[in-house]
Amino acid sequence: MSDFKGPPVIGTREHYQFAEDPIAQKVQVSILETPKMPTELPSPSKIDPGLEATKLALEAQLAKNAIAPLPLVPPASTRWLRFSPLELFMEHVLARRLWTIE
Amino acid sequence: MEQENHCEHCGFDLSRLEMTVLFARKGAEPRKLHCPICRSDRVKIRALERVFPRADSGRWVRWREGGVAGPANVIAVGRLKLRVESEIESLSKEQICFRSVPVFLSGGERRIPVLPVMPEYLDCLDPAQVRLAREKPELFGRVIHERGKSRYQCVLPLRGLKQTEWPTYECDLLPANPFSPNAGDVDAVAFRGVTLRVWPNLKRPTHAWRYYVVGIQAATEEGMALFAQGRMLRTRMLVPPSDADGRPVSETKLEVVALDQEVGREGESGPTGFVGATRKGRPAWVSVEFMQATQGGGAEAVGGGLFPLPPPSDSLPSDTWSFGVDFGTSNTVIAVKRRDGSLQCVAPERGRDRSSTTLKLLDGGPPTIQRGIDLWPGGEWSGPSHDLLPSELGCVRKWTDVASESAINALSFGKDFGVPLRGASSAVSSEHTVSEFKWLRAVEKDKSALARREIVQALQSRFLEGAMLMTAASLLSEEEAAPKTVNVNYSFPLAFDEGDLETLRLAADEAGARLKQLTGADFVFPATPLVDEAQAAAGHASSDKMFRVYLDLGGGSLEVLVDDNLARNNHQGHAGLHPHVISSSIFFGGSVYLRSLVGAGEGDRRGACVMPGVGSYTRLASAVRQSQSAKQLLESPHVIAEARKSTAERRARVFIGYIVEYVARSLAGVCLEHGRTAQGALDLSRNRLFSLSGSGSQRRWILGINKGPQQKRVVEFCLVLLGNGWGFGDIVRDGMKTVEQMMAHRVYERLLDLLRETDIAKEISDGEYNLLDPRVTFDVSFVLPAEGTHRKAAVALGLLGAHHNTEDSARFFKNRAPERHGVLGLDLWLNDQSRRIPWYRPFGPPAQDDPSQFEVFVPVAEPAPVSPSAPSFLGAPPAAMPTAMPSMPSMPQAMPSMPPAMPSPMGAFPGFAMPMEMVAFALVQQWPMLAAQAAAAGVSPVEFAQRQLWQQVVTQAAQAGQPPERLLATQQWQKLMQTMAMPGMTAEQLAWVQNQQMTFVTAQAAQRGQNAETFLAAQRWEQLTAMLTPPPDPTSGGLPPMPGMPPMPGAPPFGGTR
Repeated sequence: MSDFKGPPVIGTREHYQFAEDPIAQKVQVSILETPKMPTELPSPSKIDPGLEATKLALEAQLAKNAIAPLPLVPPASTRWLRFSPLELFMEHVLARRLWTIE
Repeated sequence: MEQENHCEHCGFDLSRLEMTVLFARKGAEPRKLHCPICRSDRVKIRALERVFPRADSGRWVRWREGGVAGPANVIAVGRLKLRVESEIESLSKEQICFRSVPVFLSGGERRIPVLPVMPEYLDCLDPAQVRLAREKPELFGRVIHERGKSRYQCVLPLRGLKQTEWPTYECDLLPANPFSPNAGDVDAVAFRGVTLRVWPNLKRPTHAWRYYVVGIQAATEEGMALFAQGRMLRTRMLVPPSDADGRPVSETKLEVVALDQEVGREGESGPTGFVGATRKGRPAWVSVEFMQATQGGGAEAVGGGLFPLPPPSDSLPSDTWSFGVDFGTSNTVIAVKRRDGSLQCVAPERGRDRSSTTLKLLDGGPPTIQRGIDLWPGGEWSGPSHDLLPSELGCVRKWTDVASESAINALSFGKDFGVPLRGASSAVSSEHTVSEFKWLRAVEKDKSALARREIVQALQSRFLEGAMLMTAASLLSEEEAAPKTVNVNYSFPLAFDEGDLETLRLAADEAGARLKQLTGADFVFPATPLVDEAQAAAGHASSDKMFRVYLDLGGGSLEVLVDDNLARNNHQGHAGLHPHVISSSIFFGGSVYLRSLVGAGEGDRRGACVMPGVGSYTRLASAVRQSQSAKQLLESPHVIAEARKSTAERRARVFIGYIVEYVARSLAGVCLEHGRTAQGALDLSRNRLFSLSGSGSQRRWILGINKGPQQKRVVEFCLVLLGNGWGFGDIVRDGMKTVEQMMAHRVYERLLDLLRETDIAKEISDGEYNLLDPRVTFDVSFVLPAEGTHRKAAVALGLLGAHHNTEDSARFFKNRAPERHGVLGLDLWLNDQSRRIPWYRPFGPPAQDDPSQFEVFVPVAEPAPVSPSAPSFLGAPPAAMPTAMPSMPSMPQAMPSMPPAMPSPMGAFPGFAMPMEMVAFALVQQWPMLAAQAAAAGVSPVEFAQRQLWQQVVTQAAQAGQPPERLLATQQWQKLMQTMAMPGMTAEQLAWVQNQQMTFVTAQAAQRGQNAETFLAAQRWEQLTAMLTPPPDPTSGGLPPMPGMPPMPGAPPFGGTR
C-alpha cells in the first residue's frame, strides 16, 4: 500500500488515530473484490454478479447495525465498523446461493 | 376376646345401647361418636370398618362377604342402630374386579397384574395391603392351573375385613387373541410383544420428582393384539394426591390420569400404543384395561389388571450439580461435573453397562414396528459417543397448528412433543418437526409461521426443559442422591444479536421455572450467558504456541477465536493485552451445506442433490446423524442421487474453501495489523506478532518468537477444530489423515499467499526480520480432539472448567469484547473522502486490555527497536516533565498588580492551585467588571485579562517553588502526555511515544531558535490567552467586540511564537 508512505507522524491525540479517520453515520460504503480468491474457488462476483446482493446486505447491515460510537472505539484503525464485508457475503449471499453451484 | 364395640377409655359396650342414631347425612361426613358414659371419642366399632363411604361418590357400601344384615340404610351394632341418609350398597368382590385378567410375556417371563381390581374400586382395599402390593408384588396375583385350564387367582385384602376374612378371587385369563382356540393354556393366551414403560427410571425416586411419562405400545406385530377387533384398549395411571411437600396422602384414593395420546398412527393405519404424562407425582399403579362396547352405546371392562410401581423414598434432595450446556443449532451437548471434579459429557444409556432411563413394567422386546414420530424421551443419544442430543423438537400435531406461545407451553414433554431421538418414519411430514430454533432467522427460512420471537423463545424454552429433564433422568438412573440445586452454564454464539441473546436468556428463565415444578430442583441459569461459545472452548485447554485459533463450525454458525497465548500467560511483552485478538462469528454453519443439497428451498428441488425421499432439511439432518461420516453420506444411494454426487462434492469444496479463505484472511489480518498512523507512521507495538526477547540489556522487541535450540524465528498458529460441522470436511480431505491436517495445510498455503500479495508485509519488521523474510517460519499446526471425546464436546466441557471461578479468568470474561471483532476480509471504498480501506484492517471494538497488567520494560541502553534514535529519557515516568530540559528561558518582565477593585479569581480557593483554564474561565465570566477595570487602567479588556492571568501564573509558580515558564511548560507537557496515552499502551510503548514526542518538540523549538521548555511554555500560554475573549452575547454594559488574540503587553514572555 504505497499510498501510506511518508514520514513518521508524531502529534496530538487527534493526529494519532491509527489508520483511517472515523466515518459518518451516512457514509456510502462500497465493497471491492480484493484480494482475489484462489483460482479453485468461484469468486464472490461469480456467485453474486456485480456484488448486488452483497451490497444490499451491506446496506441492510449498516441500517440495522450502524457504526460503533467513537467512545467505544479505540483510536486504532477501522474499529468503528461493526461488520466485515467478507462475513456479510458468506452469511447473506453464499449461504443462500450455494445450491446454485454445479 | 377382642372387644369389637367398646369404649377404649371406660370399656363400655356400645352394642348394649338400644337406640337409633343418625350417623351420616347424605353426602356429608359421618358424625364423630362419643361414649355416653365417659364422653370419650375413643370408641371402637368394628362394624364401621366394614361399612364405609366411597372415595369418589360418597355413597356408602358394605361387603356382601362381611355378612352384615339389616335394612339398607342402617348399620347394626348389636342393639345400637346407626342410620345413614342414603342407601348402603352391597359390594361383592366380583363387582370390584375385572372379569378376566391378561397375561403378558415380558423378557421371556410371564407377567400378570398384581391386583385384578378396577381402578375405581381401589379405595375398597386395605391401604396397608395396597402399599405392600407395590413393595412386594410377588405376594399377590398368580396363575393357577385347574383341570387343564389356567386361571388367575389373588387374595383380595378388602377394606374393613379381617385377614382371615379376605376372600380369594379367581377369574379367567383374557386371551390375547379373542378368537384363539387354545383358550385354556396360559402361554397360548398370553400377550406378546407388548411394552409398558415408565419414564424416568429413577434409581432412588423421591417425592420431589413429579414428572412421569407412561406409555403402552405394541413393539412387534404380535403386540398389535392389544388392538384386537371387538375390544378397546384403555390404559390409565393412578397417581396419589400429595401434600405440600410432595408426599402422597393416600395409598388408595388415587387420581386417574389417562394415557390418551395415540402413538404410531400413520396414514390410514391405527395407533400402535398410547402415552400419557403427569406432573403430579410418581404414579402408584398402571391399569391396563380392555373394554367392549355395550348395547347402550357405552363400554364395559371385559378384562384388565393393575401393575404397580415401587413407591418413592422419603429422602430429600440435597446434592448440587453443575451442567455445561452447548446448545447447538443442530445438536446439543451437555457436560456434567461429577462430585470428584471430573468432567464428562452426558451420554444416556450408552453401552450395556449403563442403566436405562426407562422402567419397563412389560418388555415386549426390541421394537420392530416403527410408525409415526417417536417422542419417547428415553434411549441413547446420537453420534459416535452417543452424547449428541438433536436440537430438534417433534410434535404429535403440525407445528403450524400450535404456532402460539400458549399452545406450545401447553404441550407435555414426551407425550405431545419431545426430542425425536430415533427420528421419524419417512411417512411423517416434516411439519411435525422443527429444527434450528436457536436462530429466529433460521426458523424464518424453514417455518415462517413460527418465525416470531416469542414462539422461538417458547421452542427454546421447551427444548431446554426437555434436555435438562433427559439429562437429570440419565444421571438419576444411576445415582441415588437427587439434586437440590443444578447450576447450568450455557453459552451463545457471537453472531447472536441482542434480540437473539435476550430470547435465549428468557427461554432459560422459563425453563428453570418449569423444571423446578417438575423435578423439585432449582435449575439456576445465569442471568446472562457467561461466555460465548468460542471463549468457552478456549477456556478448557492450554497451549504452547503463539496463537490458538479456535474454529467452531456448528450446524448454524462458525465461531472464530484467535487467542494470544503470550497474552493469556502474561509472557514476552504481551501482559495486559486481552488474549482475544479476533473473536468473530458468522451465521454460516453446516446447515448451509446441507440446505444446498436439499435444493433451492423446502419443496423447491432446483439444484437438489438428495433423493426425493429425504427432500427436507430435517430428514437430511437425521440421515447425517445416522451416518458414520459425511463421505459415507455422499456414497449412500438412499440419500444422494448418483448423478448428483459430483455436484454435492463440488459444493462441499466451495463451502469448506470459503471457510479456509475466511480463516486465512483473518490470520493474515493478525499478521498485518500494523498500527499505521494517519500520516503513515508505523506503530508495531500493537502488532501481536512482536514479542519481547532476551534479558537485561539484550531485551528487545522481535518479530515472532525464538524457538528451538537454534533459536529459529517462528510465528505460530495452532488450529483447534470444534463442532460437528467439520464432519463435512471429510468430503474434501483429499488424502489427508484428518480434517484438522487438511485445514492446517490449506490455511497455511493461503496465509502465505495472502502475505506475499500484500506490499505492507515487508514493512512489518523488527529491523532485522520482516514478515516475508525466508528465515521467519510460519507454523500452522493443529490439535486433535482428546481421546474419548470429539470436536463438539469442548464447549460444554469448557463451560464447566474450573477457571471460570478464578479471578484470572474473570479478567478475561468481564472485559470481553461487547461484540464481534475480526478482519474486513475484502477491501472497502468509502465515499466520504474517497478512500480505500484494505482488507486486512480490523473491524469491531476489541476486547479491553488491562493496562494495570502491562509488563514494564525499561531497556538499559538499547535503542528502541522501531526508533533507533530514541532519546535518553525513554524510561522516564509517564506524564512527567522530561528531566533533560535545556536551559530555562528568562523571566518575563513584571506584570502590573491586580487592581484592588478586581476580585482575584483565586479568592474563593485560597491555597488551592486552580487549573489555569478555570482562572481564564473565571475572568471571562467577570468580563463586564473586567472591562470597566481595563477602561480605568487605560488598556483593552483583553490585555487587562492577560495581565490578571499572568499574575495567577506567577503566583502558582511561586507556590510551587519554580519559575512561571517551567510551570507552564510542565503543564503543557502533561497535557500532551495525557492525549498521547491511549488505552492498551504498555509502559514501554508509552515511553517510546514520550521519546518521539520530545524529539518532535525539540525539533520544532530549534526551528524557532528556542529551547523545548520555552517552546512548550509559549504553547501553553497561547492556549490560555486564546480563552480570554469576551462572551458571545455581550451584557447590557455594551462591550465592543474584542480582537481575537492581541499581543501580550510589553515584551512577549516567550518570544513570538504565533
